[in-house]
Amino acid sequence: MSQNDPFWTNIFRNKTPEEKLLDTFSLLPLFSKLSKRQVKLLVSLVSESIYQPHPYKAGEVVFEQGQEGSGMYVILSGSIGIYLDYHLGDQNMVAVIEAGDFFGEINLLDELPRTATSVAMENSELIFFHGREFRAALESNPEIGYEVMRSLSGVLAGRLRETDYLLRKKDERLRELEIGAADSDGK
Amino acid sequence: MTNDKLFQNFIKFLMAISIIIAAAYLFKYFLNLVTLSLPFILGFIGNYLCTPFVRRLERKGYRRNFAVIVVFAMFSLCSGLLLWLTFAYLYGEIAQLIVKLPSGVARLSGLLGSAYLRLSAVFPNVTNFDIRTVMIEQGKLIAPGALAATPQVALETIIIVLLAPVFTFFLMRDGRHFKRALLEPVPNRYFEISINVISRINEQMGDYIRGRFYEASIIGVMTLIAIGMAGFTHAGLYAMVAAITNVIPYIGPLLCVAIGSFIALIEQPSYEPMLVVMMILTIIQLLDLSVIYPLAIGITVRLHPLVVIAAVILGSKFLGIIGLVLAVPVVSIIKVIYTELIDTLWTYRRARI
Repeated sequence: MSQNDPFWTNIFRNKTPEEKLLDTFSLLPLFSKLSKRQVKLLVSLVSESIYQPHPYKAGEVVFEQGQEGSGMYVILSGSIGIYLDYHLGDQNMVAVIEAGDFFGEINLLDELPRTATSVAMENSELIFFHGREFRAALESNPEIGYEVMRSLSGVLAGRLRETDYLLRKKDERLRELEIGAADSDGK
Repeated sequence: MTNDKLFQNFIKFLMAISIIIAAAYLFKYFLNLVTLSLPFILGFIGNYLCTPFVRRLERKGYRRNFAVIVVFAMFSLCSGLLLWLTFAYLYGEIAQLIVKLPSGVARLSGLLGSAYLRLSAVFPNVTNFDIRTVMIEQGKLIAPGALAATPQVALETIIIVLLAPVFTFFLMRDGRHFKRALLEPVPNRYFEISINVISRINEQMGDYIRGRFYEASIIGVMTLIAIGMAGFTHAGLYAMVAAITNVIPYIGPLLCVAIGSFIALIEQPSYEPMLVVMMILTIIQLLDLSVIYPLAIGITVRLHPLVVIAAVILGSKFLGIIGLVLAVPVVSIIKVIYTELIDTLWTYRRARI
């Protein structure tokens, strides 16, 4: 076994926080288009803007709709449910985010109020990217900044397309129901 | 709201006020331990000055520890060299001025005496108050104490000079861990708002300290050039005074002009050079107020001038010279905490309606 083998490098010491971050970043779809060198540089750039809150218990609210948001969360373990008008109950759950994925990404770009409520579906561990510090770190390296923002835009565009599709389907369904109701009235 | 809830809220409010007051007293007690607090404060200043360079090296791909060691070594070398050169220069300047001090004091005494005579001719009640006598009596009261305290002050200065680089190095290396340690006891409910507050405070303090440093340097260089071009021999001393007094808001410029004028009175055998120095320093301070300060510090700490003056007065009352310097940073921290909390609560309430 060579000295670069993870077994040997880890047997004598624990991984540094930067190495743990590197492992986490390498698995995230958001950074999947970056090369290893770019991911390593990204970790050194943004490690100061990453924080880890206490583990969330099942049912614990991560953030509420309307609360001023300041960054994005990445799920290390567990799952998070996204709700609209959470106080109205479960029927407004719009998505479930699993481990390895992220949520609240819009607030990586701005600090406007959150558009939905997120609640831990089970015991979950998250890490938080502080938007302002993250953007300031990326500004210092335009190459990495461009790749990360391109990747983020791609994810947002995909989610927007999916939302458009769901809305279209809902519209069509509503029209069908209205036509059906009009027909039965006519009879 | 039920009575129980009201009572609970009232108890929470009382606890919050008690914690704030206790923290304020502890802070005051800490600052009174000058030997410990001053290196800590200097360490923070050094950290904020060096952090942009550490980040620049990290962005180029260097590991943080390496970046910290390199920047710290360069910073220590530069500041050590600067201190040594400044001390050597000032030692010579002050030695020359001390020789001329008696004649300077005599000229000042003459000036005050003639001003007193002219004033008492116009305002007869002024005869009851002779500022020259008052100053001499105050000087006699202060001088023995000041002389007795010199060995202790010298010892504390040596300790501060030795400790400050240690604090700077460890704050540079581990500053981010302090941030995380501050967040450790915060419950998840207040996690984001706490990060916002800490991040904004860090950003504002960094910008303010760096801005002040650049501003003081610019003022020092401008004073050096202007006073040197006016033909004065101790231009470096005037530049030092201008740069150091610049740190104190509002009162600093007045101190600068007063001390500069006194040095001119000691240095030169007549009164006219004193007027020239007063004019030069006043022009430089006006330039600072209108151009340099807004550019260097400007929007980083948006405090109303009245708030700054009140803070400086309160700071000096509680903590003397340290209070004068720390007043603005402390008030801006309080402002950040207040505005972040209020903004967040307001946005949240508005969205809930």
